[in-house]
Amino acid sequence: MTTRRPDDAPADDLHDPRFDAAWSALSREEPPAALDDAIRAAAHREARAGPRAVDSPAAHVPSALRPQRWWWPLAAAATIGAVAIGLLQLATPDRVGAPTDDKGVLSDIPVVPEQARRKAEGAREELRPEQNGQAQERGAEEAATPSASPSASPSSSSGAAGRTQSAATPSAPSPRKDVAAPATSNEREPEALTFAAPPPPASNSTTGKPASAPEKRTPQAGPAATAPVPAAEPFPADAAKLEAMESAAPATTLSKTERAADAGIAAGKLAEAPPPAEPAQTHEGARDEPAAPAPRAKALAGAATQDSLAASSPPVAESGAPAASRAAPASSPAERRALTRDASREAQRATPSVVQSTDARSEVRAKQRSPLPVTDWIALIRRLRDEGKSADAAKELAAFRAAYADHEHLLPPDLRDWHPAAR
Amino acid sequence: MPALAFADGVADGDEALMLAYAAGDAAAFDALYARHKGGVYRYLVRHCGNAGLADELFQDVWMSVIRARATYAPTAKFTTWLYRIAHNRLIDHWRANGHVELVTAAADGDCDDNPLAAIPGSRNDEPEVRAGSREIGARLAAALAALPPAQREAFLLHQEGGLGLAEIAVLTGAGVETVKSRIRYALLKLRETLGDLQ
Repeated sequence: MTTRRPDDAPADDLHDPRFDAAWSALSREEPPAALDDAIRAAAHREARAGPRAVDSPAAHVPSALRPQRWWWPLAAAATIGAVAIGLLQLATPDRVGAPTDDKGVLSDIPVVPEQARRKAEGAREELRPEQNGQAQERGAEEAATPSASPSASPSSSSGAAGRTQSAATPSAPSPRKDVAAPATSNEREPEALTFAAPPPPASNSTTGKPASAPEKRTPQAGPAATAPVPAAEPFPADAAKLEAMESAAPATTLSKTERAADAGIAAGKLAEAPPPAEPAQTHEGARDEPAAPAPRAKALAGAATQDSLAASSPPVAESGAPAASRAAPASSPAERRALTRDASREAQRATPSVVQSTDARSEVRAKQRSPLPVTDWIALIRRLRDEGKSADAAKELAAFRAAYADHEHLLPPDLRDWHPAAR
Repeated sequence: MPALAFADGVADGDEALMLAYAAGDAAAFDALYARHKGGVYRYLVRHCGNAGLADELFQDVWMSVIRARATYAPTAKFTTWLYRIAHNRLIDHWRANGHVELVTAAADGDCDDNPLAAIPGSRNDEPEVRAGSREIGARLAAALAALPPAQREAFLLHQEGGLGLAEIAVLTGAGVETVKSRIRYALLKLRETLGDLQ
């Protein structure tokens, strides 16, 4: 019945055909059908839930469900870059590039140059009481004299004409003069138009109508008053007249662009200008300081204009007056001068080095200035000597000797042999 | 019969079926189960002599096969691997119940006086055939239970499992000659029991 394999087949005594047949007939037991079904069901469940082949179609995950992570590094880098740029944008430039040894206080207010301050102090020092008197006299004369311009309208003859006339005076040939005359480019452009186009005040004068807006025409009336151009001519076609006009007022013949540029410079320097200088300055003082900066010249011009206006003072806000005067306009020129003197004294107190430089400069200027009358000068020297101002007296004495070659004959004996060291 | 199947070389296909089932082919398991369910079941029933316990052990054996499919490696014959699982399960059961030796059918309390009554017979048998077979079966079961456990174990593995001497020796941990002797002695005693019936 049972056939054994030859390799491990038991001996023949282990095989009994009759026994095998009987055993087969008896051994027919089978597991219950329910048990068969349970085992098969378990096997099938395990087969379905078991691991699958790698190359099976079910193992492939749809691309839409795969985690897309390749752009994560790019997104992170972009985010970091955006944050860094934003921080740099938010950071102030001072903090970004601030030097480590910066001891000063950072401020947006422009620092006044020391040189400009010194020059302003020098100009203030130049103003002597006697010179101030001359300036006042000149201003009084100019104020008393009516406008020489035939084109000046009667309504604009008061302050603006005189002011512009004094600003365009040939005594101030420096180009800075026209920078100092008007304060802003808005006031300067009409001046340029005065020579490039027929001056509107002239037309007004021809028609006989007074200027309806004297404030608007005021800047234009000045150059027109200084220039010998007839107000009745509508167009300055005559080149000779133009040349004469330019020679008469070279500062006002700048083109519009140049004036605009100068206005920009003047505006910038005006912002940087120190407290306004003493208003009682003359044109002579401005002449003596050719290297003076534009703000100072502007201040001088404004002061001179104010002095020249004397009693009839127009509104000052439009002209090239100092910023301090515009900020707090005084009721009279005397008050303005007092205010500016106080300011300059305070500045002088704050800067002693400026005073020293001013002394040296006044000494130089004393040599160059025009000589005083002998008697007055001698009286001045004596008065300084008697007041104990030996240094000043010595300076004046030296200036006197430099001014007059025959000073040995002119000087009295007490001053001839006087030396500050001797006292 | 299982022994015939192994002898015909069909056993070479058992490993392939097991691998196919490990790969997810449930039909391969059905084929394997159909081939070996009877032998394993009778092996268990002849050992424990209790149908209920045999069913429980039978289910445990096949569940172990199902769970071990992922780690199955065809290093030996499938039948050897299968009957080793059954053998170990029996030993575990005996150890859990405090039985060192194989439990005979007569010693089982659930069984009647006739140990063959506990053995499930063929369900298609006719009553007269069933009655004759029941008598033969009872006497055979009594003779098998009277065998020493080692002889009975070797005989059942050889007769129901179709294992060779070497395989039985490896599975039981005895020598081949020892296994051969055990089988020989078991056959002699069973022949004597069935001699008068023939």
